[in-house]
Amino acid sequence: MTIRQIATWFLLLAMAFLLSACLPCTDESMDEPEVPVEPEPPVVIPSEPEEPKEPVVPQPPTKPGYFETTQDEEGNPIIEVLGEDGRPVSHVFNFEFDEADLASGDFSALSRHAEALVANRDRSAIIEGHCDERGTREYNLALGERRAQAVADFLMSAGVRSSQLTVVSFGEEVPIDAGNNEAAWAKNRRAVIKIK
Amino acid sequence: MKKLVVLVGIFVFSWPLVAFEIFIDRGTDQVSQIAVVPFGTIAGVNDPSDVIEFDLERSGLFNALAEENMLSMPQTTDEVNFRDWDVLGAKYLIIGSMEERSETEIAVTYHVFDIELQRRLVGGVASGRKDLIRDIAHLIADQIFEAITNVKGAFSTKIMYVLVQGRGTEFPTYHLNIADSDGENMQTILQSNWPILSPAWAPDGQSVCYVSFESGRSQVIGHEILTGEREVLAAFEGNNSSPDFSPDGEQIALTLTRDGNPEVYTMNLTDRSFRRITTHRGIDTEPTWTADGSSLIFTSDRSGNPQLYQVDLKSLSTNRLTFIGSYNARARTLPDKKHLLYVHRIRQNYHIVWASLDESSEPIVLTGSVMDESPSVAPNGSMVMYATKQGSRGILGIVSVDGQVELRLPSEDGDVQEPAWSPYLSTTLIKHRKI
Repeated sequence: MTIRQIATWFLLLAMAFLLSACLPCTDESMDEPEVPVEPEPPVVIPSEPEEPKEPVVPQPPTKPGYFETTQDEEGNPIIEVLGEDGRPVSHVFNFEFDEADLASGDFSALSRHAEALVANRDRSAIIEGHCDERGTREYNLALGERRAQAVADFLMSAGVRSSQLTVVSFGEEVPIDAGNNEAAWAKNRRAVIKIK
Repeated sequence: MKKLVVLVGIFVFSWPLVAFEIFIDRGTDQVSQIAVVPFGTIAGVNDPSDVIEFDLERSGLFNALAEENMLSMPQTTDEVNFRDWDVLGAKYLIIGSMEERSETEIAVTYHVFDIELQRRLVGGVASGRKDLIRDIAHLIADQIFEAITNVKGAFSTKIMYVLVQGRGTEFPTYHLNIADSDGENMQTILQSNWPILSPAWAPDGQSVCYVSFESGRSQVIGHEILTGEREVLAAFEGNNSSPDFSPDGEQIALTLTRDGNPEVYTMNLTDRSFRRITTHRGIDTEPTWTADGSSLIFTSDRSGNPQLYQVDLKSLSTNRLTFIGSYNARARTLPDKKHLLYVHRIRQNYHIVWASLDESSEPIVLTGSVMDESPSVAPNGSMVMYATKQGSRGILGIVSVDGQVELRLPSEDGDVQEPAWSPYLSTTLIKHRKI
């Protein structure tokens, strides 16, 4: 064994020791012995989802006139679909209580989204479904998925491929208005198209 | 399945130190007067009689005599003079004392008397570490409750709930908390910027499962409380939601939309196999097990609006349970195997109701707010915890199954929702023997 090999082994051992110190505490590693009911520190989920980050690749060639990257109120980048007049069309679609039917007034904005996604097959979209706080949470999780699916069905009937779309329901868990009145509820009952 | 072993202690973290404030909202006429005589204190150990008295009071069945009105302060059985308590209208008397066993150990002796019968009902010695004095007190309260009511006490149980801070803002924080049944000793077992919902206890009380959106969409996750070890149980395309442990702990029932529509499944936790239980193009969700494990009760909108159904797990034959009202959802069964609780809408308001399981009986309304949901029953079947609103803030409520007593557990610290009452928990840390 060379000095270098020994040094490597020593380093590995040291790392293993450090790692074991980080693992959920066993009795031996605690300073205070025998405190099995001592609350464990909570598991903390990092702010970002745990999904592996996709490598940054150049944006696919986009047909001009359909998309514009802007910022939302909090300064996060969002990609908006532009109408024929060059102004962004709505990407939020609201629903009646306990319903998942699209409003006919939303058809033109939805059609424009479909056009944009059909013209740019490399683009994809996440469709989020949300509910107001009334009714049970798990039922609302299913209802939110129905709302998002209604948007997805509209887009697919206009030619968007299902592989371009991901449907996610958040039920009533992520309101945009925390109030408990009809105005807040109406805002919270929504499907949102997020272009990627 | 991906196994997540999360290394804890990496994040610098301060725990929110908030306990519930409990007050009795609505009382019954049939409360019994009890007298809990102070047990006395020993250096560094609080008087457990305060915890015992509060436990008994919040059961709604007892009203405690104020200490300043007591005519005597007995600590041993030979010091008890029944007349002192009879004149004050006390029906039951609880006395006790503490004894230091060692530097770290303490023993609490207690006796319960029926004043009318002029006899001792029960007594015992509970011992354990000094820092477990609250647990010792809850255990004694359980013994007293059972001696008087013939119903097993559930004060030594825990509650789990979701605390949301910054709801409706850009950066909400979700905590999954576990606390004693009186809201004390709160610990956070999970903190996330993504929604957490539907927490459920395994019947052994050692692990829980819940729905977490930490991957950006819903997943069902199993979580061992003591080690913090977590495991993804279901992460199919679509919703993975509404887990509930079978009474034997070997399976969970859950809702998956992996086949394109919300359907109820069971999952075998040993071999990880899934079995589809419902087949309907409507929404089928919120499954819960009946106490014997032979069937599930779930919510379905197959009739046009949410109603409750029961499905036999052998034959998969399904029958509708609710016919009154246009919104009946999220059922939980009671340990008596004969009744269930669910969310029932009357006009625009959502209430927790109690109904018989065998027939479509008229539901009995237990709660009176406008948005009551997520009922969870104590393992002795006597009390129901649920989520409700105080103004626009989410708080927890507790109501007795007979509807006579209602408690509120407001939190200073955000919206509290999705309570789940633990099963009976066993401990080896406290020794108890009757005397």
